[in-house]
Amino acid sequence: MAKIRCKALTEGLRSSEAVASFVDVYGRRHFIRVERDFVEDQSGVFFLPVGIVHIDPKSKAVLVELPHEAETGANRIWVTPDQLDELMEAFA
Amino acid sequence: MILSDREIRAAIARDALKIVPVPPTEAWSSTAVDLRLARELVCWRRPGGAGVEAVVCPCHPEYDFDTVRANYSHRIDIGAEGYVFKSHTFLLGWTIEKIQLPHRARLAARVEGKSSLARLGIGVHVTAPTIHAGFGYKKDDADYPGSPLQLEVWNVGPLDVKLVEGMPICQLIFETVDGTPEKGYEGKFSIQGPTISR
Repeated sequence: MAKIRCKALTEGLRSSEAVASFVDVYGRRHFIRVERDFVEDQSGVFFLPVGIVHIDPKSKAVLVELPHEAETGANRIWVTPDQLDELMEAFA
Repeated sequence: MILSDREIRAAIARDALKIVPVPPTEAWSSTAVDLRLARELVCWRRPGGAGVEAVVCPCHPEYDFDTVRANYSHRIDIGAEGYVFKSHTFLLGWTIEKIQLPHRARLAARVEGKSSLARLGIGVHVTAPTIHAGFGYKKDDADYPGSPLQLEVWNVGPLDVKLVEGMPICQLIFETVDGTPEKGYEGKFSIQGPTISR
């Protein structure tokens, strides 16, 4: 499963939740509220599972599908490959 | 059965469905497509004047929605700055995208809100989400792109929310119809849009 590196992880509405944030290739910040244990902690760096939809052959930008709609309204966002971990998977 | 993104794209490719213009890749999710808000809004207003009572009776034989709308609403152009949607108000909006569901395609759809807006108290329909098979289809006009969706937009949240032209406002979920309908949708709102005169 591909995972996107979170730029920050902050408190959610409940103690069991967290708000993960990351930027897309356009520089827009996105926020998504998830269960805290859904985010993987790798020595203080947090990763959120996402689905890989498409990789643009020219720019290498990756279209990822978020687990659910972000607070900013996005379901799918374009990110750079270096934001991802475990990129290889069957494409949708 | 709800269509996946791949099935929706396949339906567009075989002319079983039109979404014009086709939304960009970011607008898709696994089982829905986001649609964007058009620049024209229709804002309702309460009748003015002390003692003025306005009661509409939708089941009266002479009831005419367009007359009611003309008397109790005004059009607003969102403009470049956006429109501040006041808390506890209601308006009508349109999608930029036009939709066509030929009834032979055995597809229907539902327009639903986006959770990011719902958390602010904004809804996009008032218990009428169904886009019937046959919506936006003109059997004698193969080039007709379809009709935009009219949205009944309400803000029950405590905050005023700025609406901007082109913002993702709703999502469309497609479903297969079990069997070919005997007739297509020929309701009053099948062919609709902000620029179509009635």
